Amino acid sequence: MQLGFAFRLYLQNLRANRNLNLLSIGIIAFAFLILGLFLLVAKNLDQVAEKWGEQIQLVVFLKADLPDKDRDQLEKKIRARPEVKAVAFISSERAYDRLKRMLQDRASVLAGLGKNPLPASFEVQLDKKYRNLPGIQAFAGKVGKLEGVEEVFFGQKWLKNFLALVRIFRVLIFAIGGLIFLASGFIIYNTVKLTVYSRREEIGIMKLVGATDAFLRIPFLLEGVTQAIAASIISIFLLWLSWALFRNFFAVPFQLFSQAGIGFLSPGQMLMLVGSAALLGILGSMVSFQEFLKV
Amino acid sequence: MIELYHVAKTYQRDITALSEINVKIKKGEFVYITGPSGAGKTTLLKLLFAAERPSSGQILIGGKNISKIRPREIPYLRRQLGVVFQDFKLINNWTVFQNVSFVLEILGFPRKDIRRRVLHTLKRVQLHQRIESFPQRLSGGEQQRVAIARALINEPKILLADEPTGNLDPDITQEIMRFFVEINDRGTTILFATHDRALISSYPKRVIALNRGALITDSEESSGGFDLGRK
Repeated sequence: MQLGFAFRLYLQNLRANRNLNLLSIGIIAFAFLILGLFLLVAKNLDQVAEKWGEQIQLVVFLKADLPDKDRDQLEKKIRARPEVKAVAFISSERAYDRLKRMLQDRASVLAGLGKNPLPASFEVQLDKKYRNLPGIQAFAGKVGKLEGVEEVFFGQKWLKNFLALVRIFRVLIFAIGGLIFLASGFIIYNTVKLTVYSRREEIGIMKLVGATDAFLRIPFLLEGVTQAIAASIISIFLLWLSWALFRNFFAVPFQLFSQAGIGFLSPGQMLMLVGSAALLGILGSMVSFQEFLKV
Repeated sequence: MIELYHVAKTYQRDITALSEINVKIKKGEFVYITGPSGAGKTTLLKLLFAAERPSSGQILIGGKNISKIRPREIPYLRRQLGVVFQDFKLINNWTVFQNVSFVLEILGFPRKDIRRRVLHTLKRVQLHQRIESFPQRLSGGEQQRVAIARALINEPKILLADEPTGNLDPDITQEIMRFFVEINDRGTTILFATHDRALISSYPKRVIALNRGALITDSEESSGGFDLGRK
C-alpha cells in the first residue's frame, strides 16, 4: 500500500480542512475537559479517603498492672504480625494527660476520680492490605487472645460505615467515569463522521479510480488520532489552568487539604488521558469510516 | 473484451433498470450506448465498473467474470478501466496535477515517473499550461479534459464515458469528441453513453440503443449501417 502518499494526503487534508479540524478539536477538547475534571475530582476524593483510611487504628488495652517485661514481650509479638504497620505504646499516664487536654476547662471532673482509671494501651496501625473490616476483625480476634490483653477496640460501627461509603464512592467513580468515557467516544465518533461526510465526494471519486478502502482509511485514521490527541492536550492545559485559578482563589482551605495529599493529575495520569484519547480517535474514525463505506 | 449474457438489473424487486442484455464488444471498438433518460445507459456502465451488481446474468471483462466480483477486488478492476462522467467528478480543492497524478500515486509509481507521465497526458489533452490551476477556475470543456486525462493516465484498455459531453457547449462537444476518437484510434475500447443523436451522426460508430431497460437495437447485428434506435 502507498503509505507515503496516504501520509501526504493526511497532511494535505489537515491543511485544506483547517476550520473543520479546529472545530472538531474544540468539541473533542470540551468532552475531554469534562472527563479530566471528573478524573481530577475523583482522584482527590480518593486521596482524602485514603488519608482517612490511614487513620484507622486499633487500640489494644492492656491488663492493669502488667509487668514491663510481659508488656515488652506482648509488643514484640504484635510487631511481629504481618498485618502490623506501626505500634505506639500509650502509658496510662499519657492517656490521662490526653484526656485532660481534650476536656480542657472541664478537666476538673477528673479530679473526682481520685486515681487514674485509664489502662495503658498499644495503638496499632495496620498495613493497607488489611485495612478492611474482615482484616481488622480477624486481627482483633487474634490479638485479643494474647496474654496480657484486656480488650481490643476499633470502633466497629463507625468503621463499617466509613468503609461502605468508600466502596460506594469507588463504584460510583467507575460508573460515572465509564459513562463520561463512552460519551467522549461518541462525540469523537460523530465528529469524525462529520469530517468523513464532508469529504464523501472526494472518497467516492478516489474509489472510482481504484483506491482500496484500506488505503482510504489511513488518512482518516491519522486525522482522527491527531484530533483526539491535540484535543486531549488542550483539555489538560485548560484543566491545569482552572486548577491553578481555583487554588489561588481558595488558598486557605487549600492548605488544609494539601496535607491530605490533594494535587493535580500525575504525569502518568495525563499520559493515560492522552493515550485513551488516541485510542478513542482510532476507534471513532474506524467505526464511522466503516459505516460510511457501506452507504 | 466485454461480454454480457442475459444481464438484468432490478431495484427493490419491481423496478427494472435492465433486462435480458446480450452484447459482445470487441477489443478496440467504439460503441455508443444511446436511448432516452431512464433507458438504463448509466446502469449498464455502472455494472461494468462494478458500482452496481447485476441481479442476474454474467458480465465478462477481458475474460474475467465480474458479475460476482468480491468487494476487495473491485479497486483492481477499476484500475484497468478509465471512467469519464457528465459532471467530471474532479476534486475541487486539488490542482489539475493532483487530480490526475493521484491515480498513479495509488498504484505506487515513483514520483519522478508520475510527473513525467502526468505532463505527457495533460499535453495530450492540451492542458499542460493549466497544471497548477484548480478545477473551478477552468471552463467546463477544460474540466472534462482533466477528467479524460485522469481516465487515460494509466493507459486503460477500456474507457467508459457516461454522457461526457452532456454539460458542454456544441463547440466544446466537438473538441472533446475528437479526443475520444483519437484515443480510440490508438486502440482503446470505448463505451460512450449519450442521448445526443447529432453527435452520433457526425461520428458514426456502432450503436446500442436501450429503452426502458431493454436492448432494442444493436447496429452491429441489424442488417446494414447503423440505426439510431428510433422506434
